[in-house]
Amino acid sequence: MRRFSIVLIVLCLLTGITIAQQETAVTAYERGDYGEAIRIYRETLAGGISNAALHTNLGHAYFQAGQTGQALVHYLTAQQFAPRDSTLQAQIARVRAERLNPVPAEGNWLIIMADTTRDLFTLTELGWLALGLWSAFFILLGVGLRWRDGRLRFTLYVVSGVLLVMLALFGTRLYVDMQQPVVVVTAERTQVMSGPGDDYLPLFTLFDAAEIRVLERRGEWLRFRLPDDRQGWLRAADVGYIARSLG
Amino acid sequence: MIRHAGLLVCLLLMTVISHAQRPAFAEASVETTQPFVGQAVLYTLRTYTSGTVENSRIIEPPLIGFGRAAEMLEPQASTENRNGTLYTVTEQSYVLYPLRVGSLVIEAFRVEIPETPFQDGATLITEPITLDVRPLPDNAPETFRNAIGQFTVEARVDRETVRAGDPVTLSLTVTGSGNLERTLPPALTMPEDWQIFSGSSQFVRESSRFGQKTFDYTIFPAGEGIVTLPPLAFSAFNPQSEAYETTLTQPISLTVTAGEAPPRVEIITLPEANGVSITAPPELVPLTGATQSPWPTRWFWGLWLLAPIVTLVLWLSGREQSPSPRRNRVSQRGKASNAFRQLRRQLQTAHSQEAKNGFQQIEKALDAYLIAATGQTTREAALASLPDKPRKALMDCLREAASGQYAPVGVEDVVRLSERVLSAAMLVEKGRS
Repeated sequence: MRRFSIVLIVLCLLTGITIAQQETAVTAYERGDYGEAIRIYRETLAGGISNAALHTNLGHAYFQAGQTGQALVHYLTAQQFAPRDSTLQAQIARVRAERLNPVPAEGNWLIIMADTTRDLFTLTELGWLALGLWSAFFILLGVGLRWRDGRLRFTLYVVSGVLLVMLALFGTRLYVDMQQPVVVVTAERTQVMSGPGDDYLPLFTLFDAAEIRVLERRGEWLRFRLPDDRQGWLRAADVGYIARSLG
Repeated sequence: MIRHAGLLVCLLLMTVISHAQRPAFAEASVETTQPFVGQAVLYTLRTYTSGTVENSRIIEPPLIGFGRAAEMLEPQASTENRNGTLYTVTEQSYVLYPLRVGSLVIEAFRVEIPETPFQDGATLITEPITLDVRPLPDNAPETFRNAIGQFTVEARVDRETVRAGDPVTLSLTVTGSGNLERTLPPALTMPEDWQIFSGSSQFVRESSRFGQKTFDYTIFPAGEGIVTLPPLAFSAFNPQSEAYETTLTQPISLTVTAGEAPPRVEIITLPEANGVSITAPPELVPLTGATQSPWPTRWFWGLWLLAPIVTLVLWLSGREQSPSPRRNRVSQRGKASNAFRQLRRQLQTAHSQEAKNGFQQIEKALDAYLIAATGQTTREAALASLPDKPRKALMDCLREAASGQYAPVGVEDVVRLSERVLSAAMLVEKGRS
């Protein structure tokens, strides 16, 4: 605890977050006042700070407060920054295990391919890997053309093969995250309708922490898709978006 | 015999004429024009023709605002006498579900009958039908699960004696007329320490209106002794009485014998978390003030152009420093034809000079041509690079040009030598093209 406080003080001095705020949040969390901890962390978020640690702590506070949907939103946001964090992965799996809607297996190959790297690399890391291979391919090609060295041919073939795979992984991840972003149901329960309005036919119910992929938005309503290809409409106010910012 | 044949011909003619006087048409109807939202509505399309038609095709409209039954109903054929005319009637039904409240239009259906040697072609169009869809009343009971119609309900289990912790399959069968296809599984109320999991559902359509749907549940009973499953409630909205009706099943007795406590079924297995207990509150992590972005920055995208540009530069620089033999040959060819033109001009100039100066001019022009055409630096190297025939011809011309400067020669000798020089140069040009 003492070492934690020292680390906290140093980090706060370096980063400008008030010590009092941090200690208050930690104290509130440890004594079980999760609402207060959530309030402080949300203020920090509103101040423009966004990183894996803040979202993880917010997720913990929401989880302890019983709001598993909001917890999952922040855990999945934190995962974008720190995909290899095993504690975070365990916590996400815990929320998914405890939610009411069972998760069917994903059937769309694009999403399956995009999710292959989600626990391993951030999007930026994947992008840099792809860029590195892209540059290596062109430099090898340029050297081969300039000095007409046939020995580079095999290396070029290998690099181009790996590059194609990396471009496919990066491209699908980028496309899926932009075109079909995941949102999490944060209401305790929400009625899914057959159209964008209350006068449509109710189809089924989704519960807190259900993950869906948004296909379309019309006013206050979202059209979404489940992994088993079922679609429907629900209120945008009943879901939480995973934060993303274009740098 | 002739009389019988004539009678047959008359009958045939009458049949043909009577067929020609009976035009085909189509009409559509629905059971009700004021259904409730989600209620199954039977839409019937009837095609009236003078005989059996072959290969007719029904073109359906978009049916915006409607859901429809997954399976197609079988068409029915019959005959009907209308206004003294006997028609063959083909009836095709569709089960539609209006999805929203308000005015919905079932647009016209089209029936296309192709023309064949035995039937006239035609396109039959029905009238559109407007439905005034009403909302369901607000006082739906908690057990209402979108069922609209008139149903009976029955519950049964696959075995009546079970050991605690072993699964039992409870089947709830709903039979009747309505929107069974779209009815959701009813929620069950069981003793607290029992576990219930929804299983599959199966729908069987028995006719255009009647069907049966079975919902299966897997139950893990707990405790010991004879346990009575409470009656299961199934609520449906009856469009006839315009009220919600709840039907209860008969209670079911189960004999539960001693056994192990039912296992908690995990949907997802938690991964190892470095020894962290999954029941303790998760530990907070130290915060930083950094703002991270999960997305690559804008200038990252510009870097993708850098490598192709470098490659292009490398490639172009390689081309400039070591031109290819093919380009060398092409440029050499260009230079040679320039040299030939230059030679020709200089030879023409030689004609206008005094004979001895003319020979001198020819020798100089020939030297210049050899060097330009072969790319060599000396006469000997240029001649050595040529094939035998043009080399010998040019050497003869050079010897004559050299000796003619000191011999008694005239203008016609200059002209003759010029022609020989041009012929020899043509041999060189031909060898290069």
